Amino acid sequence: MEYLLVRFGDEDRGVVIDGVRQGRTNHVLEVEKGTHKISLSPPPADFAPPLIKVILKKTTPLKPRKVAFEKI
Amino acid sequence: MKRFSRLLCFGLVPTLLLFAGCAHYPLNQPIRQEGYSFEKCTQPPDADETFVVLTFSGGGTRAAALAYGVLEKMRRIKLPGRNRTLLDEVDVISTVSGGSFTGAYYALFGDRIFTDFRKDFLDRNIQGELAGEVANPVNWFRLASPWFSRIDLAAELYDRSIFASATFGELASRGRRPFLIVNATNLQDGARFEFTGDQFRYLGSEILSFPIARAVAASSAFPFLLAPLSLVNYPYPAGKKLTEEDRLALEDYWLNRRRYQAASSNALYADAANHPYVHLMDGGLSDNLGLRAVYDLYLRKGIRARINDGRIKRFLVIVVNAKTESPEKLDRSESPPSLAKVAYKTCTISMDNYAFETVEGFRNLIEERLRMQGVNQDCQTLLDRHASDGYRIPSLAGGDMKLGVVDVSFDGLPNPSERAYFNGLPTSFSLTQEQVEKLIEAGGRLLEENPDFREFMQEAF
Repeated sequence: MEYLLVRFGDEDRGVVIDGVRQGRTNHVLEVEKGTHKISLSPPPADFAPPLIKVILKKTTPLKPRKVAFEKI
Repeated sequence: MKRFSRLLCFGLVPTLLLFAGCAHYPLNQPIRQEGYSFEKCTQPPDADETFVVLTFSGGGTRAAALAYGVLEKMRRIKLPGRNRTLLDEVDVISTVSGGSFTGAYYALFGDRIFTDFRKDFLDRNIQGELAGEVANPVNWFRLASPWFSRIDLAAELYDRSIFASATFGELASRGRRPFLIVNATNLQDGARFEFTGDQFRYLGSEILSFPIARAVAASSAFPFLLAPLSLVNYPYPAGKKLTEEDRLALEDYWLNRRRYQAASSNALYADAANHPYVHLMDGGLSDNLGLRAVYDLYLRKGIRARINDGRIKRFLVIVVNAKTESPEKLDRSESPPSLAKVAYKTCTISMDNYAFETVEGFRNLIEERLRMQGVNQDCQTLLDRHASDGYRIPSLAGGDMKLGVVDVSFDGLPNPSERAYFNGLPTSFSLTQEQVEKLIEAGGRLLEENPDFREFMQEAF
């Protein structure tokens, strides 16, 4: 497995991976190795960018791939 | 006499030939509404906290009885501090071949299995009844049709005498766990094919009207004894068959072959023009345990989302594996084995090796998760001890889960003569009542005495 950490400032928000809602921001999520599209769970759709495409590989729980969304 | 011959020539024979020409397997229907999916099995409301998965292997009545014995034992295991049994906590049952009869019967009829399943299936000579169907002259004409075969006769028999003509729509309308996954094999690419709404969406077809008996028949369509079961792959608006996950996975050939391979199998159905039909055979050809379906749920589907959501606190997978190892004497002979023996070994060696690796691969996945939970906790402990700024490592989603994989198989029997007895049981749909009773008893005992099971129960509750 690979490890992903999604930030939205300090806000707690649902995370959407490949179109499926799973997990929350600020927690290290376990995700299968490969290409994924990450977003946040609206409403409100107050984040940018709307979608971030990442390649997950060679991560660990202590060194997860970090993805950040900004508040708009 | 002449009149009778004329009647035969001009009346009965053409009628029967017409009848034969008309005989056709029941077609799966085009998609009209959402199907039977894990996401929609949401009852009872607290179902996720203790998440139990059962997989029932192939192996004819031997496998069905062993699985039944495990269910019976689970019904007697009361969970400490809860007014529930371990059986009440079962969320998913993934089945293959003989195990599909037990899994589908339990998913459909619940506790009725403990009063009726023996007379409905285990104690019957199903293969004798199937032979009787084939021997019936009325069916000869139906079997003469290119669109009707022995598997359709088997499905009819199961439908009327075991599954009470139930469809997947009946399972879906309840929305209750356990979610049933009946596994077969697509002869085209050798990939696993599951009878779920998600899989049928790839066919542009609706599973709700599909008989459970036909799914079980496909799952147990042993090569040469039974013919493949066929489905229509309907064209569907371009781009609608593949999911976002599939499209991204198809970019991952160099990154993650396993993910790419799963998406490639799905992509085959998207090309309905070149693949208008699907022909299915025994699920054991692609995975004789039913564990690959759980693999997918754990890696990238419903179970993964629930772990990341922190909804699962305890996760237990019980693999009921009825494989046998008949004592071989090949290496005692100077002359090489016969062609038939070689053919049999060629079929079964790879299946057994693959099944072993599937269990161990899944066990590695679970152990990896446990290790990572430990790494996070140990690092936090060290930081707390040696750093003074109070930094908190972001927690692993799902937290400190209790996880276990339990392999219930005859290999776990400590008594060699008892092990030899079970290893000598044939793969057939006809066993004696004594053999069935012994299998049921062994299934319960193998679970109860399994060290991995005991450890999990002790730590989790």
